Amino acid sequence: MSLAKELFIETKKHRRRFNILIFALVIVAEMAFIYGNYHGKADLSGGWMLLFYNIPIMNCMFFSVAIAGFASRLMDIEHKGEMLKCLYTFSTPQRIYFTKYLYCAKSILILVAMQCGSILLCCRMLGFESNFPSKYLIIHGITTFITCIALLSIQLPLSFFYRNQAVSICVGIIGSFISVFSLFLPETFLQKLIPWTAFVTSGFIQLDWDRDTRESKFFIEKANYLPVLICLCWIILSIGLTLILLKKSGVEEHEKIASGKKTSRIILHKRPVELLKLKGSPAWIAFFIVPAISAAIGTVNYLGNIDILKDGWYSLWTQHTLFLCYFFMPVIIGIFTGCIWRVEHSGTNMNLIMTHQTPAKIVLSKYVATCFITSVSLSWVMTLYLISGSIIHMDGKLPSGLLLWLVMGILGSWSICALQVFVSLVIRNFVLPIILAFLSGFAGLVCIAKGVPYLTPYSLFDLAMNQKELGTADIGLFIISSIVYITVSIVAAILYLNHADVRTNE
Amino acid sequence: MIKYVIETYDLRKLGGRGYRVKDVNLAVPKGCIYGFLGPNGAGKTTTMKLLLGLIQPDSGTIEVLGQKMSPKNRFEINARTGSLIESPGFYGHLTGQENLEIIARYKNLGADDIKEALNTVHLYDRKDDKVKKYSLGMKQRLGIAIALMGKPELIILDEPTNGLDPAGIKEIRNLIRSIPESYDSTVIISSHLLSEVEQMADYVGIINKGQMLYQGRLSEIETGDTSLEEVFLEMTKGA
Repeated sequence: MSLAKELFIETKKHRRRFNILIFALVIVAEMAFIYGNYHGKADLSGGWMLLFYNIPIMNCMFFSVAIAGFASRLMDIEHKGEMLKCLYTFSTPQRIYFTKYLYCAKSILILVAMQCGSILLCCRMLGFESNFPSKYLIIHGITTFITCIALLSIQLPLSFFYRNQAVSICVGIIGSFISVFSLFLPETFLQKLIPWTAFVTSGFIQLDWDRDTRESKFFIEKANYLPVLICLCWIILSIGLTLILLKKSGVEEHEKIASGKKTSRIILHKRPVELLKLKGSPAWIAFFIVPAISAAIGTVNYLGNIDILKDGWYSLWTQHTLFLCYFFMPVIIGIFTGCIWRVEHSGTNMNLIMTHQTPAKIVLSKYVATCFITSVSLSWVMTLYLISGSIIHMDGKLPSGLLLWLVMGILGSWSICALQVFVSLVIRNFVLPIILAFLSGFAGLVCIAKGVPYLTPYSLFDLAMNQKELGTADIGLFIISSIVYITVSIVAAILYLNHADVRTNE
Repeated sequence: MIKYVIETYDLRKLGGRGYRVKDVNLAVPKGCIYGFLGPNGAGKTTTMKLLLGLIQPDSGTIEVLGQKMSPKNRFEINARTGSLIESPGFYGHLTGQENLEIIARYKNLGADDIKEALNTVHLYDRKDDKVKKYSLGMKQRLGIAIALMGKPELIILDEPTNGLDPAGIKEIRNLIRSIPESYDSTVIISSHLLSEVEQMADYVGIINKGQMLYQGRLSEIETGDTSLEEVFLEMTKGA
């Protein structure tokens, strides 16, 4: 069978899946951010440089996740329908893999084309000069494409070999976070080795920020091709590794030796049902590890910038919670709610649970489980804050509103939990709600910046965890809108379960 | 006067093109084994899902165990029902016992019920293995155990013998046959295996393309030399 034919079949398989919409959504989101932030603000003649500076940074966050999501969607259809064992009788694993790879590469080409188009469109919309040398557009396109392919070469094998798509999406999100973090640290060679950062490190526009005048100026530099070369190495390396793994791959399940501990009596578990269902699932670990990483980086960052951050305990809190609130927490909550609904969405489990439990109890028990773990995690954040503050011998008094921050933060996070419980119930795909949570984290940031923090649950949470803004916040309004979000989401979820037909994967 | 545990009136469910189920009037007498027959895609599973309130009818009413089925009291009715719809649902990362335990918690049952259910389907020795390691037939047994646990008044089984070996089929057949007496329950069992149903059921309902073709005693359909198979093929032919 020719490759062209296989590619055609692959395209057929994804009919009505609208995969390319993920990419379109990302492009639209990026354009919305640029338009929202720079509309009528930037200086018009050098505006195109601003685009070429900002877009790679956004690509670094959005594209990494979008590609992970795309690759996982490609493989998910095979895993869900147990199609691999059927496909292996028609074709070789190598062919199956590389058809998917090519299909994905083709889609990425469309993505890059869309991005180049969006740059021109942004220029027009914002009134920037658009007659910049077109070679920059080409360089940007090529570097972005190669970086995307490098990420694909990492994501697709993960989606291919691990049935659990959480693995690949987590790698994607962690990669994107690490690269964004590394942009705030001094430039090192190590940074260039991370494929996710190549979007930015291969850029040709630099920012010159004058600390005294607080003016920023963009200037053109010779493009740095080293990260692109490193990406090519990543591509070769991962394709080589994949080839070796494919050669060994088969669809027979690894028959593990049955667990040795056999009990002769029936011993019942004590924990709540929702937590029993999560037995052996690593979903909750992120709630403890991510705040720890965030606290470590925040403390290091605080010590590094101690001459600018003069507010003592307050500054430390900001450093600790900045990234955690805006980016991590919504995603972790999204992953958790995804996990607790995934057990019900798989197979015919929805029949099982719907014949044994009322919709209200189903939704509420999931919601309570999510709220519980989130609250514990936020208390852990506070504990880490106090510990690291005392380790570095912070001067001054402890902030007086500490307890208020925590309570408000927990309340704010509960509204995110409610919304995510609803979203993960309705969208049966595991990855999409997580991507939505990721994008909503940014949307929350925009709402904060635009002064409408009560508009989304995500911005409510940001507001609560950021002491500077909390000082001016209307606590009554905060509580009311939290309660509104929680009630609306939970009621919507219960009504949905009550009235929508039960769908199973059969 | 026969008492019915399930009665439906002009049940309709739209789906895709046309009706998945059209004007179905079921009447299942109390304490019987009701065989629900039909070719693939005839609407057996859809009807059973409607009976459990898993999907809502577009028109018509359902009465189960003397109560009218609605999203509101769905749970109340289902608490008195045991069911296995489509293929069995289970949490693969948990052991067989843990799966039953979750159901037992929902139904307020105890360790004895779990033990009895495990013994009934002969899974007691494998109760500490993860369900994803189970073979197809063992998963099916687990599904049956979930349906039978707690001896519910009404048991709805959708193709319960799927994936079982001959010995397993015989065992389940004997088990189902004993249910009306030992559990004092009513059983509805769907199948396209006619010989199976022939050996178990008191009543049969035949459905094809969403419409009921026959409902009544099995003994009335098999008159003289005509077997159930002949009648079934005649009825579903071309219809």
